[in-house]
Amino acid sequence: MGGAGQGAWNRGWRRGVLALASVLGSVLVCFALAQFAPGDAFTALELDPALAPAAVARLRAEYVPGSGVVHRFAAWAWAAVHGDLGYSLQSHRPVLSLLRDRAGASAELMVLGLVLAWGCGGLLALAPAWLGERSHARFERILETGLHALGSIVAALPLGVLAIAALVAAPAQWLPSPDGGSIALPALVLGLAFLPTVYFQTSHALSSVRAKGFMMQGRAHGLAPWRLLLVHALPNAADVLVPVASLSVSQALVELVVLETLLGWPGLGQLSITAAQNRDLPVLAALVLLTSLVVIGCNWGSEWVQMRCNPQLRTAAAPPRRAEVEA
Amino acid sequence: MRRRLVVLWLLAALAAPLLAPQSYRAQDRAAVLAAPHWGAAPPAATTHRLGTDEFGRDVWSRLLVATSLSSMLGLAMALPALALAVLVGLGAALAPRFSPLARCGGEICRSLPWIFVLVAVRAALPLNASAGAIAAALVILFTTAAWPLAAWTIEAAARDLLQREFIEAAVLLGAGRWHLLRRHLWPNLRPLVATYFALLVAAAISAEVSLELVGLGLPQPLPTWGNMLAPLKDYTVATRCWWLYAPLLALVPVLMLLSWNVDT
Repeated sequence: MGGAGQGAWNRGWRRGVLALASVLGSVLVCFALAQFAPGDAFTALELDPALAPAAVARLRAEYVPGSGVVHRFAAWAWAAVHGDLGYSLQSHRPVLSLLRDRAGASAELMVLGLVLAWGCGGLLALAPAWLGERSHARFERILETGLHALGSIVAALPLGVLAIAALVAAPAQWLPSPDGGSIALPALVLGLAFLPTVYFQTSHALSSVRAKGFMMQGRAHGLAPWRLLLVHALPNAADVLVPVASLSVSQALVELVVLETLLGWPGLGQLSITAAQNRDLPVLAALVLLTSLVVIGCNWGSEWVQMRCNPQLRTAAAPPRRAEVEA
Repeated sequence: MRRRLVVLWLLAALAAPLLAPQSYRAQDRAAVLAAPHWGAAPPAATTHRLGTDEFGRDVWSRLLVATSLSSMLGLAMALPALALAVLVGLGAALAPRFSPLARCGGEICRSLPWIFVLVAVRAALPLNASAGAIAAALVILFTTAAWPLAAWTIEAAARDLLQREFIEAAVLLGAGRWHLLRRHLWPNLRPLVATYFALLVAAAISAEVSLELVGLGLPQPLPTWGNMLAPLKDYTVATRCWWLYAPLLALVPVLMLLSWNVDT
């Protein structure tokens, strides 16, 4: 037991170092790019005839501290640790309040989209399995083939194309408007984009669990098909599905940028594009920091849930060394 | 069958620009957003078989060039990712000491929010950045984000193979690492690598199209599938100009071909 506890401690420590390295690495890349890029947020001001060159120089000196990338990065990291993410050069507001305003909209969209995808995808995957448990094997096969074909078509379409198709097909009251519009359209597109992955993964996991011995035993005992699926098959498939769910959150973060820009949803993705157009480095750095924290949080959460679900992982996670095996 | 179709696609992508009847950037200001014309014998220079876009450029010519550009960019994004994955995967399987390093590196790369970094890269480049610079940024970021999953799968498959009897027999007969790799591992791993290749190319093309739709891909006036679909962001254009959907005729079959029969 002591060995397993020690292993878990080592693993946790290693993961912490890894997480810190990846967060700092992402933000450092961002800073290094800004350092070597020609021009900055004040380049456009230099062209303004109403502003004296000295005034622009003073602004630049005020908002762009230091010169070396390491110096700037260190100053930013020190402030970030103290809860200060800087000041947006474009909207003249603290970055933290800007993020707080936008994060709600993005989180809402992401939660709704993913709940849609997992709800519908899970049901679609359960339907053929339920038919199969009720010994309608032929219908199961027909339904499964149809769903597989549909799923591969949707999966082959890039998200941008799905978004455009949705724009054309949507009723007028769902279309994006300057004051935000309805969440229905972006949430539906996000849900649709993730539906095939969720469906394929769930049905694959279910079919491999259904082939196991305890399911046959349950059938022999005469358990009801729904009970067999929901109480016995699904929890055993969770082992595979939890990492997929966490991966879908980090994937959705990436998709948000495209989706929010095309469908006019005022969230973090849209903010990132406008920040890029205006070279608003403090906002971009904060966004990179936030997204890497979310991704790492999801990875940790999924690992923790997996360890809870499957006690085997707690002891077998560290592969035995060669010497131990031979001894 | 599938391999033949892939070869056909690659040949078509290489040859397509040669067949373009007009320049992809020539603007016919007299025929902006003109519908496809199949009638008999107007003067050859003004025929637009697939209509024109919002600048009066010939959609058919642009589609041919776009098929080539988008396919090549997709391959250029996927090949380095695959090469890195194979190198790291096989290396980690053959030299177990190297394995934790590969795992750590992969985890760092996988938690990189690559699209946000890409946005930052785009912001760092000047507004009139060359297509080459943007393509290079796409290739580097896609490679960084995409290699770990493929590398881990290849490593696991190679380790599985290394425990089989025929490998043991080869080792007892005095085979070195290079021989094992060339004669035993690679032939067995080839189908897996081919599958990952198809998946990575499909993911790369898909990402490229979506990025071009939000203005983060290759710059206009270069025709790519995403750039050609971009005018459809305008509601009026999307509902009236059905011929601008033409890139889907090339894009969807290619993506279906690549993800066809690949078990997720």
